[in-house]
Formats: sequence, structure tokens, C-alpha cells
Amino acid sequence: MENIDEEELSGGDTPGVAFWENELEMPVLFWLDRAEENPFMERWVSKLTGPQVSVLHSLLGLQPRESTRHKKDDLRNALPSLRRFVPVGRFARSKSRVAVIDFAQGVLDSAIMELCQNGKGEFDAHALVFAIYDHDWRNLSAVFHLDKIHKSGFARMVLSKHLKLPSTDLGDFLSASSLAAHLERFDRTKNNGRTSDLKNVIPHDGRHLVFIRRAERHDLLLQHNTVVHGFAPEWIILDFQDGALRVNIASKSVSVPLEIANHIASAYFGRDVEYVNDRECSYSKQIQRFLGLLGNDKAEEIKLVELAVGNGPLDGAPKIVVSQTEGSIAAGVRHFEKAVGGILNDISQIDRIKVLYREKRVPLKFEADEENDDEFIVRYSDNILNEKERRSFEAFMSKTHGITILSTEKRHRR
Amino acid sequence: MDFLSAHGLANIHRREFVLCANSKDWDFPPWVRDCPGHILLRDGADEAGHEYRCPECNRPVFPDGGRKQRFAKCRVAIRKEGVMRFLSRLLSSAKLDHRRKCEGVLEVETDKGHTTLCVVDYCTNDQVLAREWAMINPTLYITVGPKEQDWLLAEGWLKHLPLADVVSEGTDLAAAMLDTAATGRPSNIGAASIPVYTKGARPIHFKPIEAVHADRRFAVSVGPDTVVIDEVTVIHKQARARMTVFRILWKKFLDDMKNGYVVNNMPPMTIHEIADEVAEETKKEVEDVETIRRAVNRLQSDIEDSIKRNTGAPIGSGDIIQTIPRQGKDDPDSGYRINPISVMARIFSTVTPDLSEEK
Repeated sequence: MENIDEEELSGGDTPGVAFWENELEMPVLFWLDRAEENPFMERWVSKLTGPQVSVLHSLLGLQPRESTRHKKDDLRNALPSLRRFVPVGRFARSKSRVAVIDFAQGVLDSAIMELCQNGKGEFDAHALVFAIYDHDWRNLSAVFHLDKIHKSGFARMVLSKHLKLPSTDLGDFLSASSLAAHLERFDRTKNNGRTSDLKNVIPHDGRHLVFIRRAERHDLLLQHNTVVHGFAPEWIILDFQDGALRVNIASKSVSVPLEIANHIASAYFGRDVEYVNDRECSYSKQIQRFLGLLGNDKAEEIKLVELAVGNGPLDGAPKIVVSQTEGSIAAGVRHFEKAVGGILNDISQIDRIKVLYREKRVPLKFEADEENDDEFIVRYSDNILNEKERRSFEAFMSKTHGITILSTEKRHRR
Repeated sequence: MDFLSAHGLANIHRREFVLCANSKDWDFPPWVRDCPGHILLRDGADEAGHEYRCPECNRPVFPDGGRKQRFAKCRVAIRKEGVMRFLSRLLSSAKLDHRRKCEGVLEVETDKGHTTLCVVDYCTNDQVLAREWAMINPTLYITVGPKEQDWLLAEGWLKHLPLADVVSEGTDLAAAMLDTAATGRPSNIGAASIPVYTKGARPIHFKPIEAVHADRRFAVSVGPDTVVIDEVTVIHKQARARMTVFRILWKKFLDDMKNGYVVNNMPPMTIHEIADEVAEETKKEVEDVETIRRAVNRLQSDIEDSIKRNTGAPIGSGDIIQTIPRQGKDDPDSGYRINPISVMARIFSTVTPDLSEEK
């Protein structure tokens, strides 16, 4: 992992500007300046929610008070110690609640977690981030990284050939400083001026998440009147599973992240290995049964909210999209099928459907298998769901409908 | 609106929403400058966790962070139960006895005999919606929505009443029913021609929809040399070795049932026990029990594959032959058994249709 220059990143009890700007990618100078203005701080305190007030009051070690109003008064009298939390609040604004709660449960004690709950027992993500920061500000980088796994789609990759696992534990291999050296070697072989920066390796639910920031395509920035040429950064997340027999990849580009994963896995297995897109097929009968249930609003937890058919049964075979912002379209589809003709029965004509799962519209596609007419790979846009929801959606589809679903994300070498 | 809501005829929701592309918002322009998406707001959504997305272009939207202009709209949903209850109340208040015949249909007693009230929007009985029915049975057809009127058969003798007339214009439902009953069978019916080809509505064949069962059940019947599950032959005549293994497990399953074992106490057969039985049955020594284990595993995955391919039903590899994992090194109860929860024994019949493709 990259050697963090503590002096540059840290301002002692508080992180330095470099930590905010380089590690957390957040412009901080503006907020540090504003935090020095008392009128701004007064407004900032007045906008805090109950749990945020309670946590800050406790973190500052102020005399216990009953009411939120009194606690706010105390905070207004302790502005100098409160200023450091302003950029933290700004940081928390864009972080997923699931990511924050998940991380906080691992590092915070139960008393402080309790303070972070509102009257309904729900966690206040901002309050949790204040507490995480106070516990150890370096943890914010883990929150920053874990937030990304809930917002990115992951291509599901498997080794092209099954291999025996090496005796070295994957966790030990990944946490060794040699991983950074492997990345450096990879950049040298590419020799295109782009560099990979290993930012973190986080063990998570028995998997190993590797976070890499890498220069992607050429880009420019305007700073004052000067153009700064460089590269747009890309976050590459490699989620190694089953001892690196599988890896899920999140990234913007399609080729380099796969090459990096291959490079790391080859170093781990001690021989050249390659990942390929996972492709678990379902039979057309299974999908027809599933669509039949959706078309009759009987697919349990999910509802059909959009259907796009390539060659519709209307004259001239136009594309047909049936969609509704709120509620199921099943009755509408049934009516169309009765009046005009079938639109749900020919899977190969369905461009996509969208189902409502936990209040989210999840697109599903049926990708015909090139080798077998009767088989389809069912793919869904997994970035719509957070990581926990993805796992329950996949389990639901498998258990209730017997269908394995994969992400629409795929990676291939160019 | 108030009337509809007060009489339970409609649910009226007020929903707030933001527009994906609105030039007055701070986040304008989005990727698609003229995206028509409306994003409905809801309590408890985690904006920072990208829980608001445009239904059209899928981009994450930040109603608060993006300081987006908010709009409100009312959504009116007519309630089927509310409509049926409303009509029933009107009939009761006019002292007309009635009963529910089927979904969307009431049978009303009048002094002229049975008269039918059919709400076409909700009627699921195609028989009541047929012209032949209306010709013989005095029936008043009620339409709920405005467009449904256009879909009714355009023949003058058909008795029809829009619900809106009853609700807002004070048309007496009871009087309309009595009038329908008094008219009796229509006498001025012309001949109707049924086209052999039409682009409009035509009779379609409905398949019964199978409900989703979280607890899966499979009807298994074992014949002299085949095994059939839910009308799919999963072990064919040629597969003698598989049949032998399955029959051994099946016999144990039937014996356990006969002995009144409960699910948790139904012991599995160890791989060695199965191997011994195979040896006895085939009169051949089993040299390597691993070949038996591989045969059972293949049998599990082939059965799963066959059911998925031929019926589309959800099935796991352990739903027919269950693997009971070893709990510890010396656990004697690890092995295989017919899954006592998901398998139902059924008498084998040669006349049962076979859905499997390979015969």
C-alpha cells in the first residue's frame, strides 16, 4: 500500500489538507475558511439534527443536558472545538447510509451508536461520521472507499481454468507491500504514462476488496487562467472471492482493470492466469415462467414496472415500451396481450424489463446464449441496488424463481 | 374527489416529485438535457446512497443536494373493492337481494327473476362477457372508466350504464336494474358476424398461473425403469446405474415413511451404505466408493437441470436428493436421502404425459 506521509496528511488531531483533498477527493480550503466565521458556525449549529447535536455534545465532553435546545446552546459556546467538524459534515453529505452504518458498527461502541439514532431508531449517517472521525480520522478513507462498493456495478469474473489454491493465504498476499510493487510492474509494462495507486485493501465479509486509483483518459482542468493537462482518475475496485478463484470488478474502463486483476492473480497463483466473464445460463422455460408470474403480479416481492419489446405485434413491428412511474404495468400488459398480441412470451424480442424491488426500479436483460437457443443469461443493473440489496435480490431470484442473475457489467481485453 | 374518497371508490395520493431535467435546478443540465423523467420523493430514502434515480435515464438525482424544484401531483386509483361495495350498498338500500356470482358480477333478485349486474372492468368470467350470455340473460353492464364504453359491443339492445352516471348524475341503479329485468330477453338482436381474422380483440387461451411456493414440492413417481418428477422423466430406461442408486434411496425413503419417522429423524444413507446396496443389487464389488459419490452428485445436478429446462420451476440440487453434510469428523449421519420436505411420493403411471424432450 502507498506510504502515507503522516506529516503532510495530518495536522495532529485533525487531518491535513492533503488528506482531505488527495485521499478523500474533497476540496477543503473553502470549508476550513468558512468554519473560522462565527456567523457561519451559528447557522451550522442551528441546522444540526438531534442525533448530530447529541453526538457532538458528547464528543466535546460537555456537561450532559436533557434537551437538544440546551445542547445546541452549549455547542454555540464551544465553537472553537467544533470548527474541525465542518468539513466532516460536508464529507458525510455524499456518503451512503448503508456504507456508513456498516463501517460504524465495526469501530464504534454501542453507547455512541445509540446517540446516533433518531426517535424512530434510525441511524443518522452524519452523526455516525462525526463519531467515526473523532474515533480516528484516518477511518474516513475507509468510509470513502466502502461507499463506492454500494454505488458501482461489478462485473462477475471467474478464472478461465480451475486451479488449486496456493498455500499462501490470499489476505496475507494482498496486504503485503509487494502488491504495490506488482502494480508498479504492471504500469511499467503498459508504459503509457498512467500510474496505479494502491489506496486500500479491506477484508469484507470473507472477501478482499482492493481499491486502486488510476489515471484513465486524457483530460484538462482550468486553474485560474491556466490549463492543467493530465488524466481523469478512475477508481478500480477488485473484489477477490473464494481465494481469488473469482473476482468482481468495478471500474469505468473495461480492459485495464481486468489486466490488473489478471496480473495480481498470476502473481498469487505463481503462473499466468486469466479471468473471464461469468456466464450462468437459465432455460427459456424458467424465464417464461418468471415473466408469466410478473405479468400476473404474482412474483412476490417484485413488480413489473417497465417492458421494452423490440419487434412489437403492431403493424410494422415497431418497438413498444410500456412503463409506469408508480405501480405495476401487469394489468396494462395483460390488456395489450388480449387486445393485440403477446409481448411477454418471446424472450428474444424483449430488450429489457424493469422490476420494482425495495422501491427501486431494477433493469433486467435476457442475453441469448450464442451456443444454445434455449438458454439465456439474465443480467441486471446491479449499481441501482446497494451491496446488501444486491445479495438479497440475487438470493431471492435464485430461491424463488430458480434463476441465477449476473450484473450487466462485463470486462474484456482489448 | 371528496365524494369518491368518502365512499371508498378511489384512493387519492398526493405525491411530490422533481424533474430530472429542469433548467431552474442547480444540477441542470444533466447528461440528457431534455430527459422527461419524473422522480417521486419518498420518506426515508437515502439521497447520498443514490436511492433516487431517474426512471428514464437512470442517473442518480439529488433532490435536496441539487436544490431541485419540487412539484406535486395527485394520483387517483379507483378501488375495485370500493366500487363493488358501493354498488352493493345501492342495491341493498333499494331492498334488492343480491349475491356475488364471481369477480365483478352480482346476481340480483327482482320480481322478474335473476338479473345480472356485470362490472366489465373487473369481470373475470368470459362467459358473462359473451354476446350469447347477454342475449339470454337480462344483464346490466356497468363501465367504470371512460374508455371502457368504447370497448362495449356497439349494439343498441345491450343494457349499459357508466358508473359516472350513478355517482355524479344521480341515475338510479335500482331502477336501471328493474328496467333490465323488465326488458327480459332482447328481441331486436341482429345477426353478428365473427371475423376469421381480426387485429382487434380476439379470444385468447389463458393458462392457469402457478403460484410461487417458497416451500417447494415435487411429485415423484418411480416406475420399473424410469423416474418421473412433475411429469418430467428425469431418469430414463438407458440409465441403469442411476436408476439403481435412486431406487436404493427411494426404498429407504418409503421404509422411513412407513416407520413413521419425522423429518428431523430421517437418517441419511452414508456413501458406504449406498455402495453396499449397489454391490448387492448388481452382484458386483464396488471398488471405489467415490464413483458412487460422483454418481449421486451427477444425479442431483442432472435432475435439477432437467426440471429447470422442461418446466422452468425453481429447484435446487438438493430438493430431490438431499445431501446431509457431516457435522463433525465422526458424525455418522452424513450422507444422502430423498428430501422428505420437498418430495411427495406419487403412484407411477404409464399414461402420465411426459414433458421432457428426450425420450
